[in-house]
Amino acid sequence: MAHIVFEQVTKQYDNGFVAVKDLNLDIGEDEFLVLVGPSGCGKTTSLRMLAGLEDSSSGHIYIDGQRVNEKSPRDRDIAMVFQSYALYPHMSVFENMAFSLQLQGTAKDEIHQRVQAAATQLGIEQLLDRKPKQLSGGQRQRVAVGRAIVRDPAAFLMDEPLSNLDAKLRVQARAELSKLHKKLGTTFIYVTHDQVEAMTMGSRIAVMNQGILQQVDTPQNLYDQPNNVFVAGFMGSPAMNFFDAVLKPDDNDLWIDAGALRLPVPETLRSRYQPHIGTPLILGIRPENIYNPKFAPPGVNPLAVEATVSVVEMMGHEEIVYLTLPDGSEFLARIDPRSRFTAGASIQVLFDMNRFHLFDKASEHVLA
Amino acid sequence: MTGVTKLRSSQSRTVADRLETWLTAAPVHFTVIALALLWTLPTAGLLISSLRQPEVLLETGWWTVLTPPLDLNQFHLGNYAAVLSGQGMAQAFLNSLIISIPATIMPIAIATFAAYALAWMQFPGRQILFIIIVGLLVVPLQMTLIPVLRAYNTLGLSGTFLGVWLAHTGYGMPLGIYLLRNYIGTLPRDLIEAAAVDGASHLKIFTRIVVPLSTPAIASFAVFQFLWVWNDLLVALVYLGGNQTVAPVTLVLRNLVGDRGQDWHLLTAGAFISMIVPLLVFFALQRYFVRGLLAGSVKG
Repeated sequence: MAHIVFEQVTKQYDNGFVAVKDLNLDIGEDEFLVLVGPSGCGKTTSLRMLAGLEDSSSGHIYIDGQRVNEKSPRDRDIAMVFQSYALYPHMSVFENMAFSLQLQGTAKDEIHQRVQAAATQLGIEQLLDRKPKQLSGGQRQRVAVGRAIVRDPAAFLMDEPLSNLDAKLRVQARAELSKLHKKLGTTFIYVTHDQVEAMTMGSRIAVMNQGILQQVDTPQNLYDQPNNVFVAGFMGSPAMNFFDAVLKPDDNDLWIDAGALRLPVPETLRSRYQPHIGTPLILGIRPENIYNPKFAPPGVNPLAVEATVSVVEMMGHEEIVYLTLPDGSEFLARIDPRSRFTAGASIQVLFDMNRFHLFDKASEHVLA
Repeated sequence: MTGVTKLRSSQSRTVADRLETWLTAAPVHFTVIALALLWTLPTAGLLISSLRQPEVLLETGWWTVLTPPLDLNQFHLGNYAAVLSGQGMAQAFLNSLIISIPATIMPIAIATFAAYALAWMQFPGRQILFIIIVGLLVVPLQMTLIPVLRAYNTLGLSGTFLGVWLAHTGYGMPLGIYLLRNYIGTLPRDLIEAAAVDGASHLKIFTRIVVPLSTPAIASFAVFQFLWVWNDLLVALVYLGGNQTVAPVTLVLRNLVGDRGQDWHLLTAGAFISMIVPLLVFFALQRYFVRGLLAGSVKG
């Protein structure tokens, strides 16, 4: 259990490239924090700075109130699971797991007992005599996790530990890691580029882009109230639809005018958006908040929008429909599978005007 | 019917295919075998010569033994007996081992440490240091003979085993560091970092991770270094001088030829004895060259 704080942490490489800029992050004890972002966003660099594998250029990193910037990795009491697993190829699974305990000078009996306990917990006790090359991908991943948990460290750092597994195993391993976190009650810091992993496992998610922390929040809040266009577009699959828009007053109403789209702002939000009339905006709406009028739930704005179907992807439990507006702009809708739309058809869809997002076009920030 | 014809045609196709494969590979096989025979020929000649009578050896070439084939009477082991008993060969053999073994272990030990530091430790001037070491590869050792010998004379090291060990260590080090650094530098970074996070110091990372994983490179350098030291005449001659009590096999062999080159029979036998050790070393370490020791550590 550890309380980890990043304070104004910046990493600049010798060639001038800034990998992480002014990172401020407070990670509570027993939290499962997921660092997520596209490749090159600085998430792995942040993790490596916490592990002590890379120096920070400025700022402070604290573990349990102690500044650790100058401490070597072995003095930080953290365990790390690498993307490649980094199992020692010349050692058996048992030796791999016992390595850190041996270095600590733990008694042989205790090493044996703790490795056995960890192995049982992960279901790898029958593999203890094998060498890493005799293991499958999933087994190697478990051994890598096992190597971390035998140490009982203050925090677990994981760098995309599931990205080398096939899709089915990954789903399974995801649930297992979540369970493990609940059981151990230790701080987990988990790096991934996969927003599904972030959503399913994190108690909080920190979204990073181009070295800058974009937003930290619970998965649900992040999904429902994204701070900016990047977070809105990154979380969720298929991604949110964006349209260039502008707010226009009309009689007593306030309208969002986005080319071929003309949507009314609900009464409750009018006063909030009033000050932004006329400024260039971006309208964001998630594909699942667009409905086929036939299957729309009550309370959805009854104003229909005309669009042409270009592609239909039937998923079984839903239809993903690629739509084109008369002005040529394209968007996606996740629609009830009973709709049975066909490509080329001209259809009507409803936009749920209780669930849309407006961003300032210049700053890409959500409107206050 | 159709099934039978089909089967037959497919069979004939495989035969044709096989012939084609064989014909395509034939030039390569032929060349390889020819080269192998060519390289073995002098050794075979040496072996045959060492088993012949001294008088016959001086009169005819070794290939004449083939004219009365299978006549085993033309061979004898007398040359070997003579070399081993009378010519100080046994002592020289021992000296060679006393020189070669430490002169192999010392540079390996130092070069492996240096290679690790150059590959995985951050310190200023690391790259320049490595370039200088690589640069030393092209310095001919003859250039160093006089200054080192003078230093040895003042230090009292000439004519001693220690002096030869140090000289060989110095001469072997640039190649050793170069080879080992390149190998150790290719070890997966994740492994080194995982060990660091697991709580290992540089020394522990070196002894527990890097050395076990570098055995193929260490073994091949060991073979290089051992063969070089074992076969060396120049360094031994310069630093040991004429001191017969510490002379290695190469020095004794040179003396075996005789003043007028008449003692051929002893030279061939002695040379063949001196070949045994390098062969043993090579075959003993050969299994470490097997690739794939790293398989399974990281994805791939």
